[in-house]
Amino acid sequence: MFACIYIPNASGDTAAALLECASTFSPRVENTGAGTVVFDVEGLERLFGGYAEIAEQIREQARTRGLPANVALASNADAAICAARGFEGVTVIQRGTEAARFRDLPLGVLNPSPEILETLQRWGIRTLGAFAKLPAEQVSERLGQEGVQLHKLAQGGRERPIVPHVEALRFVEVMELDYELIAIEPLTFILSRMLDQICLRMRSRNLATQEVRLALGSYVRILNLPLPVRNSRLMTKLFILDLEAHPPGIAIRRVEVEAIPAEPRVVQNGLFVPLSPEPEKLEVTLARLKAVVGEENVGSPEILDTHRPDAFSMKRFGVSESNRSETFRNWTNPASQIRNPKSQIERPERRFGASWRSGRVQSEISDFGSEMQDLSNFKFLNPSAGSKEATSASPIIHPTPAISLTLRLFRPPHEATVQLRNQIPTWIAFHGVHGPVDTACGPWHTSGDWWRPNMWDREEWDIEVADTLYRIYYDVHLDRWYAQGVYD
Amino acid sequence: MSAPYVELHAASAFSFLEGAALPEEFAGACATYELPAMALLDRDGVYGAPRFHLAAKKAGIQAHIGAEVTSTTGVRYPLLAETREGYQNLCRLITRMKLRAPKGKGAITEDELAAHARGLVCLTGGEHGPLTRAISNNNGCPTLEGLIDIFGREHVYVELQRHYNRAEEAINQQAIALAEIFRLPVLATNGIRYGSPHQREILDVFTCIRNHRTLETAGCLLSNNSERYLKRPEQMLQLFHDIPQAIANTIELSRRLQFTLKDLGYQFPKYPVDDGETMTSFLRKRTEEGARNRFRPYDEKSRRQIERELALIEKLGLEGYFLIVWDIVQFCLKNNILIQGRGSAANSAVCYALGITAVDPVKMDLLFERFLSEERGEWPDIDLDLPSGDQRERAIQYVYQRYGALGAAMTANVITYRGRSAAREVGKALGFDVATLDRLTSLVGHFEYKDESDTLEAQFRTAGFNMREPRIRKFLELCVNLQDLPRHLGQHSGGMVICQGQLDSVVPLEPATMPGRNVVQWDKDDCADMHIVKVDLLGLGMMAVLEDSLKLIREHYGEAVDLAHLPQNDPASYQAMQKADTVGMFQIESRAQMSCLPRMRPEKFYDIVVQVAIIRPGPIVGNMVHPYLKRRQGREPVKYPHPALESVLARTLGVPLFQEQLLRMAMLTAGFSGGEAEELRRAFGFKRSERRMKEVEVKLREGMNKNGIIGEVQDQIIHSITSFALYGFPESHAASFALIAYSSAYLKCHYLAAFTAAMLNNQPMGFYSPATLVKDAQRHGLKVKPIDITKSDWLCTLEFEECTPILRVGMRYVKGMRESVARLIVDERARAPFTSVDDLARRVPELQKREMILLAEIGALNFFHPAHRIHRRDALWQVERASRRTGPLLETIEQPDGRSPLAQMTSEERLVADFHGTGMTVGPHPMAYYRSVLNALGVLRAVDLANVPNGTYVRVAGGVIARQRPGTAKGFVFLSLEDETGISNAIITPDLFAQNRFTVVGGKFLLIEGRLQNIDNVISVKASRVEILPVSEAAVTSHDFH
Repeated sequence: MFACIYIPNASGDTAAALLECASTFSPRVENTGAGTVVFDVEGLERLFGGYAEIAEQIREQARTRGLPANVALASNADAAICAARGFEGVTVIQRGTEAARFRDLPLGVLNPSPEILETLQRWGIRTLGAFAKLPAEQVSERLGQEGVQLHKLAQGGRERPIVPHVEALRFVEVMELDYELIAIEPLTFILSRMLDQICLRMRSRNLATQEVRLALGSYVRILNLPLPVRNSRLMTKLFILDLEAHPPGIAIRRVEVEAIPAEPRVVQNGLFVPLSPEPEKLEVTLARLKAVVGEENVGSPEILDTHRPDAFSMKRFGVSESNRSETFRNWTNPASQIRNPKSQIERPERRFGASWRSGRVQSEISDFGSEMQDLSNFKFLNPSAGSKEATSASPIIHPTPAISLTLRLFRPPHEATVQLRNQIPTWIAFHGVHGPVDTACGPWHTSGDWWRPNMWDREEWDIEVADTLYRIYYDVHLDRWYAQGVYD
Repeated sequence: MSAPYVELHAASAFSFLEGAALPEEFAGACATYELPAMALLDRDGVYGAPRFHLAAKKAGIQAHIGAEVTSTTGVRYPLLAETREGYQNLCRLITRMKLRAPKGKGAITEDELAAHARGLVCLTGGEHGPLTRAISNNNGCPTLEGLIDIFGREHVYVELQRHYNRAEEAINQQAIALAEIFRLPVLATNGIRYGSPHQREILDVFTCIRNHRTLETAGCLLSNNSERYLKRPEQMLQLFHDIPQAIANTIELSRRLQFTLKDLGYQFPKYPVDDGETMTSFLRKRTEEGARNRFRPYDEKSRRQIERELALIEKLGLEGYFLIVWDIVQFCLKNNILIQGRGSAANSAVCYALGITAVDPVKMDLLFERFLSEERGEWPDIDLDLPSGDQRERAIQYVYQRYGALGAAMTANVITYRGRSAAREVGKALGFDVATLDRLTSLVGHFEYKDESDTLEAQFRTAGFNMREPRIRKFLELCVNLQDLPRHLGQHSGGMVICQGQLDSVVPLEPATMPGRNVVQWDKDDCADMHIVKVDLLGLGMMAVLEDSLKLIREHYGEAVDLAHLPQNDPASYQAMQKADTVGMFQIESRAQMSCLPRMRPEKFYDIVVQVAIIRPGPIVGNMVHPYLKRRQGREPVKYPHPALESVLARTLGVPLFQEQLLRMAMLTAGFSGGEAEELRRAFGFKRSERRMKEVEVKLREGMNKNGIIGEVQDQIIHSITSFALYGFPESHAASFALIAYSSAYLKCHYLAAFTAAMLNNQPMGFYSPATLVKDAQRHGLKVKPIDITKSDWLCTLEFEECTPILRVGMRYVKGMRESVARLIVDERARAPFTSVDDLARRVPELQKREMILLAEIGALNFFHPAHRIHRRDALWQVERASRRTGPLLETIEQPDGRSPLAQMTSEERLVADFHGTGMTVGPHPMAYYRSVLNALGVLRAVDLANVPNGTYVRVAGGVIARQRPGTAKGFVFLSLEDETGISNAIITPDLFAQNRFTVVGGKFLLIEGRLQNIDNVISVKASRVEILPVSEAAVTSHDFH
């Protein structure tokens, strides 16, 4: 006999509870899906009495777990499933009576494909009884193998072995400590041993991990790795660095480490592929950097596709395989070895210096005319454009040579006090700098994100104060002036 | 005005998603800022030019015309028309690029530019212009040299735009340096895309729509500030204070640009005549020939009228136009295509003589000035009705072939953003999810009548939006701002413009979506405003029905019916009209018409003319319907506002019903000339303006005062004229329609099978669904047979059973069936009859399983063996096997049809399958199955209501076949319910509608209780309770919201 537990309208997270419930009765449980499990109950009569009692016991077990289940017992697994789906509460179907009992059940209990269900409905077939009456051979001609299987089910099912559920592999090590740990350093030894064990087990199954979870009592840290590894030393190092940056702040009595298995990385280095940093070493280096400067300050800056000034996000830094192979292709292609200097000039906004220091990011990138006119009488000072490369190609014109200036941004921008005459800045003070504005060029007006609460609208000026060029701006919404950066 | 600046580079919303303001807004702003002129350069077209020209004329500024023309290199050349030749070159250039590319695409080569450069001034453009790109590519010098070569040094201006942008200014500095080197003038513009800064938001939304992005993902595609608006001259002066010559040059260039659309150079088309003939003599001959044939008798009055019209036609030089229309009519007659002129052309005796119209205007005393007058300074507008579909297309293609692809084109139809489309597009741009947008757009009302709850804001609220949330408020604000902005260019249903010589030198042409058609860049109002003569070739479903009916009658009854010589005063036709038994009859079948017919009781042709015209917003709003009907029934004496008007209003019993009457009233009472009277009509017409209306009213009153018509009588006459002018029908138009209405009534009464088949073959058209047409025909004794794979064609056909014609429904009614496959079935069947489902599947392998199932479900496969009919489920059982292809070995072995183990469909299942598969049933009406239950509920049948006294409280029930909420009905909803005996009408008050909105709008079968109104055989139930009747799951359809 087989038993089936079915939860109508089950959500995904009930599967584990159902399996657990069923496993209290049998070690061989099939997870049929859609809130259904089926298992063999043959031989349980000696423990619980008759089949009705067994069914009641199963339902009781489900109820104690908060599962409002239908339970059915039948001579084969499929019949038990149909009965559990079709009848509420507890049902026991004696061998040979399946077809009669199923006669009035709706087709839905067979869980047919939508196409077959539609065809049967078109035929006016609404119940299992009506379906069962159709000649098997003709059903086969019209509905194929799936139809035949469903037809057999409607007639009372068929003998088939169940497919037992197998628990997923877990790589977990747990250690209860005799004494409380307060410092991080003693953990190194413990972690190292535990991770050694895990890596050993993974190696024996040819697996690696990309995600390791460390629980120190209630304090949990998760280590995400860019590539699957099984190097216990590396993982220990990374955990220790991480814990130094984020100390648990509690005494440690219990250590639990779990690695989520993944397929190991297969790498075949090419003869001409340039060497890139070992991912493991790079990860350790980045972890060290993060510990020093903070996580949000490590990575590759990526300019966002917007006109909003200075909009960027930090992307996780790493060397991907695709980048490496791209490099390889470029390197092996002679044409690409010659870098076109203009290509860097054409799209300057795509470049963003990766180096950084003291909280200032070296950025853009403004071609700024060297010929500064006296603008005391008018607002607009026109910076000339074009780089040296651009103008040198022209055979006729020799416009003013342009110099390329680098703007060093203040992060965050310094609030400034600005005096205006005819709406042109004439005096400024900010962060230790003050004095009359010798030359002002602007305004450059940008605004955007008008559909958001954090829209922006600002007027920028390039000013010269005591032989130094600054970029300042007026935030229209905040009605304040800021110094944004200094030109090198 | 001495403004120091002229804006010479503006793109309006007619750049389609690249501009956010209408040309009129620009013209208005120019007037406010005292700019003397402005240039409109829309992208790849002059779509907005007529509107800009007219608005500029009104505002007293000069409208320069040009366009931004896209080149194959991706840059856009801003070109200004300096002379008429320049404008013509521009139009030809755009036409050339458009006609060879798919709709909305196209680009010109530099060679083409060079070939069409004369008379054009080229600006170097802004961010999309040739110079910006060239400077960025370090290529400025060759580019400028190239432009000078093409246009000449005097016709190239180096354009400078300043939008407070660093990169742009860098380009400007290079451009200035280049201008100095090449000694070219610099020109300041603002490259405007909208009228005021806040419209930048609309432009950003348009950018998203154009690029299929949301505002969040559009990034740098959006504008980086709001500076592309029309700036005041002083702002521009300040912006370019360092380059004053750039500002000064705008004035200098504006003075050079002499061309305006006033100087369009359009010429009337000429009709080719034989040597020794002139168009005048030819027209006179054709008119004389026609008049002798058509005017019976061709008396002195008719002669005088024709002579008067011909004199005016010759004076205005319109002979060519009349001959062209005559030529189209001749083509149709020779090719057996029904054609009939409608509208004001029917006022013309010349049109009647030429066979263009079918109503004798002399006999009917119609007013010629309504059609053509010297004072008006406008060209006549002849509308021709043709059978919709292929026949109309043949006529259109004839015009193309006769005048060349560049000599004739359809007028455009500018599709603008309305509530629904605006909400959908803005919602998408703001990133709202599809389900939310669907919810919102489904709530945007369809009814003609809009109550207070029908505002966009209320609809947003009903859709569950929180109006306090800023994002939602922004959504609403943008939707409102997007209203009426152009979305894309469509094709007008039938307006064709023809030009002497090349039309593409007058206005650019584009390919229409429909193959073989070109469309001009202006809509029909623009063409009229630009005095371009137009012929409307309109598709009229009923014309196609008449034509098809005649063909079926010829083929199956062996009779030749001539519509021009139908028996007049046919009793059967008039009886049907008097009983309001008019389902399917042209123009007199709607619920409103049916409720009027029993009171009107038409007895002669002119009554139909009145009937067609009376159910119109004009007479209804002007409260003229009831006085007319009462006078007709003798319940009210016939009286006239003034004795002088008796001659004008006598035939409509003292009540003005037609536009001609109000013109004549003005002529008689205020001494207006024919042309002045027509001017009055236009002043109060669709494009009404307060100022013009006031002027005309003053003139009207002055005239009446002179004639001694004062006080209340004067007010009454003026009220009649003003309230009526907007919506009234011209009598000539009503007469043309009445002819078709009478023809349809005659055919329905005498050749019901042919008429019904033709109606069904020309759906969708008319007021009722095919299901209602079939039921109505069945009630009139027509036997209708279901779709049968062994007998049905693609179209509905006629068969004979014991010498009685019966109707066979065609396979076009199988929803989802492909016409090509249906025709294959018919061809294969002609070779040898099908013997089984298997045989059908084998011999027509193109037939898909889905289609076979559809055919089986509706019972079309039941008839392979007449002696052993199978039922629908048997067929479905066979289809399932037949559709599983066997291998080649067994393919030729046919499996005979046999009984299946499946149960037969119940009547409800058959009903559901019929409506689901064909939208109709030829079996009993769904209500018939439940009659005994309905009797028990005290529900009366539609046919029984006629015998129930007025004021009785009754219950009626039926399938809803029409729901209406007319704009003139103050929120009342009118329902038509159908049962197996006929149609009953119900009236829902606004309050009851508000309480039962879902039931009334969503219910397929309704039970309605209320007092019966049975007055003068007009029967309806004033509902006090409405409920959904769960009689059938059949998906009956209703024609809603007319």
